[in-house]
Amino acid sequence: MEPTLSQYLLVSGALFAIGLLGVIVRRNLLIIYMSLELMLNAANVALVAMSRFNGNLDGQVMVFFIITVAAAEVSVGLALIIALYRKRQTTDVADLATMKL
Amino acid sequence: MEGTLFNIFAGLTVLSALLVVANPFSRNPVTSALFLVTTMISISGLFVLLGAYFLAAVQILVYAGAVMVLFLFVIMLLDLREAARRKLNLVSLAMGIMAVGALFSVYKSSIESKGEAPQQHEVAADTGQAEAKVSAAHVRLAKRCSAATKDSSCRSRSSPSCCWWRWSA
Repeated sequence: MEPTLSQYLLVSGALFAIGLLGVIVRRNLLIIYMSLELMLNAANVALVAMSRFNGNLDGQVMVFFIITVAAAEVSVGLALIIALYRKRQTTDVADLATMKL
Repeated sequence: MEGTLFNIFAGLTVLSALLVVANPFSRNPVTSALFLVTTMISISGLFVLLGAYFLAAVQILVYAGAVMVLFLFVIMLLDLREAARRKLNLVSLAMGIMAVGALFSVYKSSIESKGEAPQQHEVAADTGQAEAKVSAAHVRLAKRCSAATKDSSCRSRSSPSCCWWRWSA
């Protein structure tokens, strides 16, 4: 049988929750970045499912732009992580607390 | 057939996403990156099931191709073997799982309560009629206001954008 919209939304919600868990729990900057990518992809799945079950292509156009922006964001973010590593020799967020009150 | 494929791709997506975040066997970032590749490929399988063939191809090209190469390049450039040995804080892990689990259960219940859609449509139709009535009343009130007095407070209160939710509720 054909999967319903709520099943797709459930998968998307689970993916978003796992990504959020990674952002909260993990301490490695690179893993946090991968979890952010997971959350972006959860939004993509929800948008494509909505556009399929509503019968228009607006969601797919939105996903196309999200993928473009995410690729640019990854390149900028990884460059920032490399610059931070050259300065501090660490990628652990517990060691990057200079701006903490 | 489509349901089986959906189950396979959805299970693979969620399982490999879990292995990206919390892998019980390996704390190496390279393992996480490779499971992220699996996640992206199974998400593109979901896109194919949804009929978005172009997006499925773009997903594989951009994520499994470009973004993953960047990630692996940075991980191997930084040589993070020392960081892989750190332990997770158990208290923060429990709190994080609780918070995210609560969020997900709220989301899940809100999706499942969408099942009784006809009732909601009726309610929406009712509020639509009520809004139409209220806006007609607004027009009458505004006409009376502008005709009888030049009171600015009366006119501002009669504008439909002022508090339409209170009228329609």
